[in-house]
Amino acid sequence: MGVEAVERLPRVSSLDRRREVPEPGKPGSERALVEAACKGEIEAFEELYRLNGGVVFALCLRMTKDAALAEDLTQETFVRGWRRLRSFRGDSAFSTWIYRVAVNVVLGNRRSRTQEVTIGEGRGVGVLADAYGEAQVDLKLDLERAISRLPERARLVLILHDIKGYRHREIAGVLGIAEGTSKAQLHRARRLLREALSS
Amino acid sequence: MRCEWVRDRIDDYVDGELRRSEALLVRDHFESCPECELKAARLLRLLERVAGLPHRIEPTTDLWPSIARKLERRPLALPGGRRLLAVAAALLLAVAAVVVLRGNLGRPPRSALGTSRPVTVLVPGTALAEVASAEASFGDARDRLLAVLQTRPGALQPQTVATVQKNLRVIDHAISQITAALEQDPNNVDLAHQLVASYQLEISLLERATMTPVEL
Repeated sequence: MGVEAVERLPRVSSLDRRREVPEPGKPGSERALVEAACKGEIEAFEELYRLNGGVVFALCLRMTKDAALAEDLTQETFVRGWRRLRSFRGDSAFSTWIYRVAVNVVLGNRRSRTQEVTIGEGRGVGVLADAYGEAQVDLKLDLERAISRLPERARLVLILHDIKGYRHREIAGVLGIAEGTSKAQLHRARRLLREALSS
Repeated sequence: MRCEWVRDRIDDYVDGELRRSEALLVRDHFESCPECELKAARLLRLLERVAGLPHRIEPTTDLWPSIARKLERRPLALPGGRRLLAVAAALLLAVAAVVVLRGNLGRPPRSALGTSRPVTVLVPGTALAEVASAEASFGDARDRLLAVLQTRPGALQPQTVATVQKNLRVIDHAISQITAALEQDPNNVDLAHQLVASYQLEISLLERATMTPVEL
């Protein structure tokens, strides 16, 4: 029994990286949209928003724990993205770039740092329940609540690594921290999460 | 093999981040220690639950109309003379703000603006392209430094943070004015120089505030 479980561990972890795999044709269409938006075509930028808005909002909601504030920060992310679009060099996918903008918007927002509420209270619970649908909604809300109680830095690293599939090197680059710090924050987040869910 | 040594590495093991030699040691340990193996299995189950959370959550209302309204309100060009006056005034304010702040924040980091930062040289006819290229570096650096500023709340007095933020707004205003002017006159090298200088002021201000030198 032991050997079988042991054999399974590394395979699952290395395969299940959860990194977004580009859909066939997506990079090309995204590039075309970015080029059009760079020329000032707002309709193209709207399409980019439609493709990426939900991912940005998910980050903002998990970090602020407040649906109204998350909506404000999502808007700010895309407004800032529009202003900086000329500086987007295409080294990464637009989705990666705008997510990085969102991380900076969230970190730069003082209001999100003073939130004492836990996700699942107030408007946030309705938004999340809608997102989960019927299946396992209670179980997932318990997990979201536990994540929302994590310290801000640890929570952000957990979201980036375990939900978004970023690697420590990438997280270090986005947050301006050392890779070792990213690892330490992740391990702390997981430990706190385990403790919260087992209590 | 001690359990403590293994438990310190379970996260890295599950993430596939251990060197092969260490991963094999951990795996061998599991064969003789069901407790450690159980811990790894529990962690894996937790990670599967976390990974199963939705990557996308749609806001309950459509945010696009609000975003679009703000995009349409991008900086508009003022009539010629007024526009340049506004640019000059804003830059003057920004320079004054930085000079004042230098006094408040003490010595700059070693690689801060002044002696070591390379000067961006703009060539007539390519001003806008050069600026677009510079914007990328400055934007990234600005974001990194702002994140540092926000994540070290105890390192600066609240009044200092407020002063930095106020000065950033002044410089941002100058940047938006110059950008609008450049859009009207894309090959104006003087304007492009002013824009790059404004970005440099902004980075310098943030470097001093955070005591974090950045490479551009």
